[in-house]
Amino acid sequence: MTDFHVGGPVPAASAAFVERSFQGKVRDAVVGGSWVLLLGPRQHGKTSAVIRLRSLLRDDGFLVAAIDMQELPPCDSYESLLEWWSSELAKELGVLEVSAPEGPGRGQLRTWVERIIPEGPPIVVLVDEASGISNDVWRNAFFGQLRAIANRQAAANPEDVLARLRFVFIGTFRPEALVSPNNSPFNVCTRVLTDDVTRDAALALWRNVSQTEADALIGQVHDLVGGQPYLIQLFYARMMNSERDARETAFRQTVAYLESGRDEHFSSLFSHIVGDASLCSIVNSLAYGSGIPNEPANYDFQYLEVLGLASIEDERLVIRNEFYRRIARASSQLRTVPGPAPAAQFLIPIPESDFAYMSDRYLAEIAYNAYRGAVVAYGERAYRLALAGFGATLEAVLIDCLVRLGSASLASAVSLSGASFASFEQPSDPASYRLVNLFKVAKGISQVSAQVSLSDVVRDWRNMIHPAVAARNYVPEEELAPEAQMASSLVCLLRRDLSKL
Amino acid sequence: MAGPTPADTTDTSDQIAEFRATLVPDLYLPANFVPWTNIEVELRRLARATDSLQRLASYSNHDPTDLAKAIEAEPSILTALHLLFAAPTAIGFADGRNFPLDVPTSGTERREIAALLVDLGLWAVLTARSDVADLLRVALIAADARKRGHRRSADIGERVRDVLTEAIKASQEELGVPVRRVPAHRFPEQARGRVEAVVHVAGRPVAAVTSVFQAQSGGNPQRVLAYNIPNLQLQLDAVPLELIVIADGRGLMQTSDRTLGILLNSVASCMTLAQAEEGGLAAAIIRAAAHDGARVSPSRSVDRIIESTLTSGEIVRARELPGELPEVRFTLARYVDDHPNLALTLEAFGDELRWERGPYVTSAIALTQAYSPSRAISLFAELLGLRMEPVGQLPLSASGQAAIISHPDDVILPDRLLVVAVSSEPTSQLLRETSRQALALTPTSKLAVVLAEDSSTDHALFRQLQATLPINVTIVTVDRLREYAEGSPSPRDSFVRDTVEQADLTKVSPFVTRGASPTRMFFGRDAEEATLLSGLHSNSVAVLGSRRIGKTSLLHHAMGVLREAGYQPYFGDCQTVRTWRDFGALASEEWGLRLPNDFRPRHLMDAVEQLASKNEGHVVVMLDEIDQLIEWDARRSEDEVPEPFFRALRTVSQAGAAQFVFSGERLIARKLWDPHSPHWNFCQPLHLRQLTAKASEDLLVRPLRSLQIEIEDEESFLSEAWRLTSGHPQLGQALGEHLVRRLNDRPIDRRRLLGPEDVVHIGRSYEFRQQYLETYWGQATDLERLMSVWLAMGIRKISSLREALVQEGVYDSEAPLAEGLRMLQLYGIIDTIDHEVEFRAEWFPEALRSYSTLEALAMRLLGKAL
Repeated sequence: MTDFHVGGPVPAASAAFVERSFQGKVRDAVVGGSWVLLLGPRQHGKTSAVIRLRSLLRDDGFLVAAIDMQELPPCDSYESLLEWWSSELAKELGVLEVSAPEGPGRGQLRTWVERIIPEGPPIVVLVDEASGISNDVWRNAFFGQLRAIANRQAAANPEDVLARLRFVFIGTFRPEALVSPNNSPFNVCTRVLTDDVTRDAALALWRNVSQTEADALIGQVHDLVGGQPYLIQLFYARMMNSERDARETAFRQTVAYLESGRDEHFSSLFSHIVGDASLCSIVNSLAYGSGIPNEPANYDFQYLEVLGLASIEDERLVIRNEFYRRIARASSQLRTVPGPAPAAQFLIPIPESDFAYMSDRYLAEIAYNAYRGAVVAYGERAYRLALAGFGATLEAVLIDCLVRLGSASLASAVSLSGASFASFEQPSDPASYRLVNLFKVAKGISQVSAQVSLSDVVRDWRNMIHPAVAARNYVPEEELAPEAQMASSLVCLLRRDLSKL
Repeated sequence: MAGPTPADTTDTSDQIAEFRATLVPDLYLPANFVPWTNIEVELRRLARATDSLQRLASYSNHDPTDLAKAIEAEPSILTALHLLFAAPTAIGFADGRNFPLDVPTSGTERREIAALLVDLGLWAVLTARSDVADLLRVALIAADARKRGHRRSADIGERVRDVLTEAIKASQEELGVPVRRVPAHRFPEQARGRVEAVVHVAGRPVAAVTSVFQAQSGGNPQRVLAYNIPNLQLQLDAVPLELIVIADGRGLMQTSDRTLGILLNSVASCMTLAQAEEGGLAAAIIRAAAHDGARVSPSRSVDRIIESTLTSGEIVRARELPGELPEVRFTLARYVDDHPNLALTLEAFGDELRWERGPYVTSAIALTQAYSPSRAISLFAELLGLRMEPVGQLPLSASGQAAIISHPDDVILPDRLLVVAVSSEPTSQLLRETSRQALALTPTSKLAVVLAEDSSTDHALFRQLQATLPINVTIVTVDRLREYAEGSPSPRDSFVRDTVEQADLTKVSPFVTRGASPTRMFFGRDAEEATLLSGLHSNSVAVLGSRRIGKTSLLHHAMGVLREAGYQPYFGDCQTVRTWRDFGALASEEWGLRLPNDFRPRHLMDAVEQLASKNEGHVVVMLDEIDQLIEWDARRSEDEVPEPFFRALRTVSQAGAAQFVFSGERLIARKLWDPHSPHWNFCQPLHLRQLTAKASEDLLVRPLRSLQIEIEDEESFLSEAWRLTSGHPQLGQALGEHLVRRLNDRPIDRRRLLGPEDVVHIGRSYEFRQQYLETYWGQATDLERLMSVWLAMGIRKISSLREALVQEGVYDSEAPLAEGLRMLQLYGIIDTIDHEVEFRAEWFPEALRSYSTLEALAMRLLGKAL
């Protein structure tokens, strides 16, 4: 049984826990009285660090509360969001009863907090997954009120309970985009980025857990994945489970597995890139070059650091490890420069949040899951199934779009489309359209006219998954990869344009 | 070299002991005690007188006339008679008669002298059985007794000369340069007639040698030791010449330790003859040569007396010191000058010297003699002038006492400071416990104190520990408390100095790099506040500036200024105010107004009237970070009136019911610059840009000085700091923080000095360059960034900038160019003068260049701006 951790936070007491320098930076900043913004990629040890930090700060004598914003339940009002957050805070601080404020104070975070904070030492609130509030208005209100607390601290008396509050916000997000910059608490935070596991620490990790010396092969892991902690633990776990003689095979198999892009680590990382042309362009430059000079106050560069895809080395933005370079080069979705298309082995899914613009939440859920299934199918070389998934996604996205248009605009689009409707299709009801007509009518919307000209081809792709039709015009499964890639791209293009309507 | 230990390296008591051990009671030489040769010569000279007197004694009838005749015949008889009567000089008697030294020429007078001698009892001295020669021999020995001291002195002088000769020889061998005793006419004026020798080394006078031999003690000899000799050294100090005293004799043996202490401490070297002969004199000459005759501590003699008096906590009184009063007063004044590190007060006319903090010095001395934790805390609090709030015993691993002391309004020290005093040596565990207790009892403090009787702590180890503590803990020993009391720096400064040496400085850094500055770190802005005040007489004011330029800090500070000017100011942080309703909630909560829940612009006048009724003074409402509300209001209307909230504010302002001060960034600036906006002439804009050079200097240097950090070559330091910040307050604070961190990485002995090279080093760091450009560029649009890069590439004329925009296809109208330039000015990056642009942030082009080539940067930005 291995002790390496490839899922969830690593307990601080575990031999697989690696002390990283960012943890010390966060603690020093908190101890120094600062608020902290801890940013870093997923699976990069943030939550492990939070657990460790909570323990260390409590040992120091601080009162510490850790609140995971991902656990925020559905709320029907901003006040109920504050109530949940306050109850979590109270629970963490051991405060048994919280009396809800009355009147306008009920919508003020400060009023809630003042009722909870006990006397005594400073209170450190660790806000994990700080981007967890999906409602824009509430998110801005919540963080704006935190910023107001920070402002008050400058003029607060030492006796003021608010003067004892220190926050650590943790997550993987663009701070300048998550909250309006005018009222962002992140502007008053000491910013700390997670750092990679050093080579020495990686070798020590192997020794600690495996109780064996690290050989050259173990050293190669760090060369390949840099200090990415999840990937290191993944390699080590697989190699540890193999006999010593079979370790090299396990190493190669792991390399092959990761290069296939099937590990969720890559999809979750690159999914933030593929939908953003500017980021794609930068990643492309990084993948094919030796880095680009860092640019001051470039928020895209900073976001790539936060995502973990790039880092600053010798004042240049460089791709973070060899694996990411391989993935970036292998992805047709990221390629923005002319040249031969790479042999794509996998697709990078766009995140669920990219479907959040859709009006109908059922259609949004159907679209995302059909899309997600299609991406998985593509990775498994099941291209027909992928085409079915992408087709379903396109239908859901287009129906939602046309329904949103309203009757007058829809009628106009229909009249411009030249669509011929079958008897079961109602021109006033997009939900009854066949895919071909969804595309034709959508062409009537100026913003999407350029992209939907592929509609006939898509219809043909759909035909290829019907067994009888597919048998008639047989194309081997492995030769359907280009069509599946194109379908995936079409989803991305439509999502990009329709979300702006 | 053997000999006495130099005075400045040994305790006085040891010196006295060594000195006493080698003293001899006297230095008479038996051969010289009775000068027999001289006596025999004298007897021979008096042989005729002896014979005459022998005859008169043996054979005459003691008739005065016979005696008179004998005197006339042999005048030396009168000399012999003077010897026999032990009357070395002429003697006059009460009855008018005389016993002269010379024989009178008149017979009458000779007869009168003879009668007088008979009356004096001559024949009782000279009887028939007397041997006049023997009597005269004894008389001559007695007469010589007065010369014994001189003869002994001469002997000693000879011994001194001998030892000096030997010492000169030995020291010359040791030094390898000529060592000479110079003739008396070459003595410095101060030494003439007062010392026996002046010694030159390599042609320069370095030492004067004198000897003192006292056969007995008493007032006069004591005065010589305690006054004359010390004064002589004081005068020789002016040459300078080290005075080497060879002192010996019974008188010295009987002299008190105090006087010997004065003697030993008041001259460069003092030794017995035996010590001198054992090599002490040569050693003293060599030492004098090493100092070029200037004693290590001039006037050390009196200084030592002063020092020993002060050390006992007593007052030094001029009249109790050796020397003439004016000179002693001068010495006291000089002592004060020579000890600038001590907190001494010289009373009027210089008659008394005392500790400025005398009672605390006394308490500290008492504490060193008998330590008590509670008294240690009291003294610490009193020394720092703090109010004390005992908290008794805390659950610590060492027994002791604790108190919280209050110290408001200090840049470095916290408002409340936990002080723990323990009876044992501080340990790591105690420091950790203290830190934890401080966190609970003084949660906003970054510092706590442990007082201890003594500490053998390894400072380097404790410094490592400090980095792991949530709160710095400064250890102060009783000896340091005494130094706080005695030192010229204020006890607060001494304590901060200790803290700086021991602490993890990042925890006590006064610089605020994030968020609004507290009052203690607010500097400058006098002109802006004056503009604000004058503007508010008739208008509302909009404070425009980039992020982190200090808008919120200015508004906070202006609150006090406005109150002093008789206004009634109200502050509202509009960070979370996005709607009219939010504004109503803010006004209700912050200012205690009764307003409808569904606040609308029409309710504004009512709100202002409620504010006006609260107190005297014209109402000024300060609304910080107003951009968000402007944006929301711009999309609303009330009764078909667009932007109703700001129109209502304008109405209130123009009606004179209240004035408003807004602060914001881009949006409010755009509104004010737009002649079509209702805000255009509503407010007087107050552009907040960089600080003045003086304020910028204060922002950086005052906190550093408050940390007791010295700045080397301050002019260059400040000049470099200005180059890197151009007075931007945020960058000034960031630079200060970087400097503190740099000090923190240094060893203790290098933690209190900064210089220009430190600023240069920080300017070269990637971190600071990034911070610099993010501060100036953080809010700039791609077009504004592109324009500033082109300006950094050398474009100066606005027309050239326009041409470049046109050429690259990013110019569609004049408005974006004009707004871009105004924004770059607002951010403090540039100034425009006569259609030309100059960099206000002078380091900006250099900072940009350090990232990549400007051409490459322009290309990337052009791609984005297009």
